[in-house]
Amino acid sequence: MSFYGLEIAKSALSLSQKGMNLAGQNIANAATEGYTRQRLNIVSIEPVSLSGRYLALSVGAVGGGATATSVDQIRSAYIDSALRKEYSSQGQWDTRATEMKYLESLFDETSTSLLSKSFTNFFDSLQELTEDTVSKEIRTNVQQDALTLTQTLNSYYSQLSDLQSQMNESIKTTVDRINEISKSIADYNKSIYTYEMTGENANDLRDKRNLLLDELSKLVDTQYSEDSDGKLSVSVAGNTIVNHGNYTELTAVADQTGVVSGTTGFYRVCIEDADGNLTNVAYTDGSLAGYKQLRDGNTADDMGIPYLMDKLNTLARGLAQQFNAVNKAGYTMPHDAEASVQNINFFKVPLDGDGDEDYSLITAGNLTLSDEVKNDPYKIAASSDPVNLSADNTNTGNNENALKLAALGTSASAIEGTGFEAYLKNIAVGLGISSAHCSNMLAGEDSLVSNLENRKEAVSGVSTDEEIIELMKYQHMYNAASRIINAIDSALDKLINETGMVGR
Amino acid sequence: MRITTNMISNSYLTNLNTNLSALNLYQTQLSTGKRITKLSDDPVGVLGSMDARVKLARLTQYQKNVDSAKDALKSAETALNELNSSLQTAYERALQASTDTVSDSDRAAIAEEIKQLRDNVLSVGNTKVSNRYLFGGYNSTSAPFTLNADGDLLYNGLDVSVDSPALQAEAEQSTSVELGYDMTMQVSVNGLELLGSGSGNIYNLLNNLYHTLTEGGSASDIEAYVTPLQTAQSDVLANLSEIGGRSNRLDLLSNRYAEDELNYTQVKSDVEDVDQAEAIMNYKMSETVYLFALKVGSSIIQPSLVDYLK
Repeated sequence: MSFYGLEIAKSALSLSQKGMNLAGQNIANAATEGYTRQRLNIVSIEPVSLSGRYLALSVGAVGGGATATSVDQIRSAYIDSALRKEYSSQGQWDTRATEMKYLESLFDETSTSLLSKSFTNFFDSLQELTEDTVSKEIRTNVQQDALTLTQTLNSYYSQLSDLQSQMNESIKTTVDRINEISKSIADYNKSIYTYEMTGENANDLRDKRNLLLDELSKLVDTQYSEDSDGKLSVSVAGNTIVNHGNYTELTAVADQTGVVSGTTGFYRVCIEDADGNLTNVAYTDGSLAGYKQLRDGNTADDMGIPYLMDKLNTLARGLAQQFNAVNKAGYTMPHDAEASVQNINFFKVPLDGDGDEDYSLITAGNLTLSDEVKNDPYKIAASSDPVNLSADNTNTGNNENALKLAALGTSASAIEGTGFEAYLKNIAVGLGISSAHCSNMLAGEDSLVSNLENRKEAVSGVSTDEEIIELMKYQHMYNAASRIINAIDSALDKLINETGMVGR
Repeated sequence: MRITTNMISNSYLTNLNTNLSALNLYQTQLSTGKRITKLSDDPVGVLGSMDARVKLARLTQYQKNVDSAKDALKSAETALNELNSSLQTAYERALQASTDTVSDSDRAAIAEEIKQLRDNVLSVGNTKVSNRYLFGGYNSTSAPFTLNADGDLLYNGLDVSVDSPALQAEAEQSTSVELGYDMTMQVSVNGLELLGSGSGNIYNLLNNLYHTLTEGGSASDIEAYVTPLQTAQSDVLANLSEIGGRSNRLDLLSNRYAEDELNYTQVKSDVEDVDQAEAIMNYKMSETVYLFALKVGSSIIQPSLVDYLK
């Protein structure tokens, strides 16, 4: 009889206490974000071993009880990695779908879209002009409706331009956040490494670091790996941003010009390499990629804000070219001291460096009426021949040029082979299709992410029912172990106090 | 697969959210009456409805143009009718005056009547509606018909009885308006068409008749005017029927546009508007599903093992 039995029971007692504590920990953290359930890694203590306490030389040696070698997290690295990849996609599509919805509402032709209505009013007032070329009221209507049209185009353009700048700013703020996360991950790397040198698992620290990696994946596509020493490195598009305890910041360099808009100070994401040179970071996913695509996307397949700006610019230029050509060919209405003249522009054309008219300088943001028409509605050239108030045939009723102006509204080939309103319609429909596509992709990603998150939950989530069972298990173990101690205690007591009492 | 508490509550929340989204959608559809609230709801469908919208807007304007064209032609008709009755009276008087039985005082009275008719014809030629001269071709702000010092009729400054290329150019001036896609129609009547030019000009005929009556023309001199007056009248009638033809075309156009308006509105409505009955059904169904989800959720979420252990 030795105290060996007591040791076995003692190990059971401390183990069951650990177990109950752990069950408590799991239950308390059941709702904690990013918490991975923990389990004791229990091993039985061998009877003959270097780590055992007693060297038993007899046959039928009994083990020394049980002990917890570590507290392990139940987590699947594979699911984590798959999930983070989908987070990046989801991040990108989420950004794009949200902004696309906003753009849609701008161009929404199913409600009373401002731009469409402006066109209708302008073309209608031109028709009125063909019926009465003399009336100052009707001419003023044409002038005002044309002015409203240009102002509406201006406003659309400036809203797009503002949004583009917002996307640019978002790139900067995202880069700042990425850098914050890199720093935190580096700090955690150091803490985890130091802690785990003691042989314990740094479960809670790892959980926090994993949360950071999740957040990072949503922002930009990342690759990460932990080497055999337990050192984590994180990289974006091949550029290392975290290497164990060291982190490299991404810089947003403001040296790009906005596509189509020509706004300066757009950001380019770079990283400083070993020689101190800045190299481009070619990220492809995450909300960072979403912002970039919206800010720079310039084709029908890659529709971003610049594409829409470009289309509006084409519309503005087309308007200016067509209306100017017709107005210049016709004669204005004389009044007061002004004579009937030709060659008056309808819309203003900016001058280039040499002082020549340059239609390519017109944008939807700067389109406006020519100074002549803006100040004098009589400068709208309705007549095909000079109008002379003192002649026998005054020619005041000549509306042939007005008919040509009005015909521009219904012309089916005014701009790039379609009419003006049809062109606008095509922009809106293209936008609708692109937006629907983004929303669909997002829905797909949401579903994938949801599926993977469920699988992660299934592996790593805490089930309170399960923990209660564990608790009960350890509770019983504790009770039983205490009984064992009682039993051995009375055996020892018998041995010590009541053995060898014969004859005393 | 393990099921954890979080999974149950997450999936419950997700499904609840899906139900609420559907509920929200149907509610919006019902309260706005529109199936499509934004472009991406049905981009291809929107293509058709946007087309219809543009056509409807154009149609409204064309309809207005057709209406004002009809008004312009009506004014022309009124003028021609007046000319017709003037010519009728002149013809009867000329017949009367061409007999030998008419007395000098009667002749003077007839002459006076002819003078009145002649002046009336001039004022008809210079008809103005809302401050615009109707029969001056492109000259809408000054009277097209004037008299020179010799009392000759001038149209926009040119002598009506003298044929010249300038006069011919004037005769071809007429205002058109756009009545449809690639469709313009002349809506004014040229003054020279109205009153005739050269020797057939109504004013000149009446003027000459007047002078013949007052300057002692013989019965046969007066008789010489009878046929020209008849010819002039039949010209006026011919003009009237031509205008009538144009008016009819406008009526047909008007009818067609009214039909087109209905069609396009229908197309727009088919795409954009929601079928109320269907929407209410959908709404009720999703409301039921939502309530069920709530009920089931409450019975799963609350109890746990702890409730059942002693």
